[in-house]
Amino acid sequence: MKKNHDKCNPLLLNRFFDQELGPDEHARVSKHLRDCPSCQKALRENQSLSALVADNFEKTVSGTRFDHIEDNVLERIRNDRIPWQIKLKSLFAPKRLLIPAGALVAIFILFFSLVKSPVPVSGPSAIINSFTGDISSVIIIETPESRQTIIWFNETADNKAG
Amino acid sequence: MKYVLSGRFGHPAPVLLLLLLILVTGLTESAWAGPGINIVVKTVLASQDSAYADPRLSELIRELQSVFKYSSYRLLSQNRMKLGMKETGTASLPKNRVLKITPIRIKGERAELRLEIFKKKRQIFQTVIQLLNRGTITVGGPRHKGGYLLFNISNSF
Repeated sequence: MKKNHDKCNPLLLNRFFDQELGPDEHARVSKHLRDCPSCQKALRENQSLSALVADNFEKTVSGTRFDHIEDNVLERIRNDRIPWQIKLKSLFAPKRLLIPAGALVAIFILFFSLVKSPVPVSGPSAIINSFTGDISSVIIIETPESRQTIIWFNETADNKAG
Repeated sequence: MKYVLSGRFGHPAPVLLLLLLILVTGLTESAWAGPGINIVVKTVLASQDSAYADPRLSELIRELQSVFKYSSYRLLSQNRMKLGMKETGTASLPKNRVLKITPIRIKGERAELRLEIFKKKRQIFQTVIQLLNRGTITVGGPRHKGGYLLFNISNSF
């Protein structure tokens, strides 16, 4: 025993317990176990610990109502409505769109701030500074809606004849 | 930012350059159109012998109908010209008439224009007007084919 005690190998013992050893190693460890009280004790502890865990696991599993868990999960999914803020955020989530869109908006703002929009000017469409000619009469009219200027003239008899 | 703007170009510079080009092109066309004045002269025959409204004159007809009682408006011709300051443009009118237009200067939102109508080589009248940018003036009166001739002059600068 004393002679074998020097060969105690906890790793090998664990593999023996887990039945991972080949036939030769298994036989060697079995032989060692017969003569080594400390390894026997270690093996017993492993076995009892394993039995305890297995027992508790069995009890827990057998006491679990899986159908109840499933019902709870489904109920939570049904109740967890996505808030509209998150939906909106997810709509604009792709960041690759945000920056070009921002750049475009900036350009439009710059463009329209630089380009002057025509200032509405009150008054007739045309102001007559001077009028001279070989005519018999002239009337200057302004349309009521958009104040467009109209010059209406009557030619002299000479001009009409020509 | 680099990740987003680079895209297929692999570098943000081409995209930024493109955007800048678009911006400058837009500005060039709208704000810095150059020192010319675009003028359009429409010669219209207004009469009462039939009911006809030329679809190309719909806006003008709406204005004219508020002051005249003609039932027919026909577009006889249309002349477009781009004139610099002191440059005279000519539009041929029916019955050997000629309309000469000379921009004198631009003052604020109005262009000062000299309008002259000649019949053969004889001047019928001359007027100097200040026409609003994108505004129109209509000159009318000569008899023609049972109706009256109207010369609608519009400008933009």
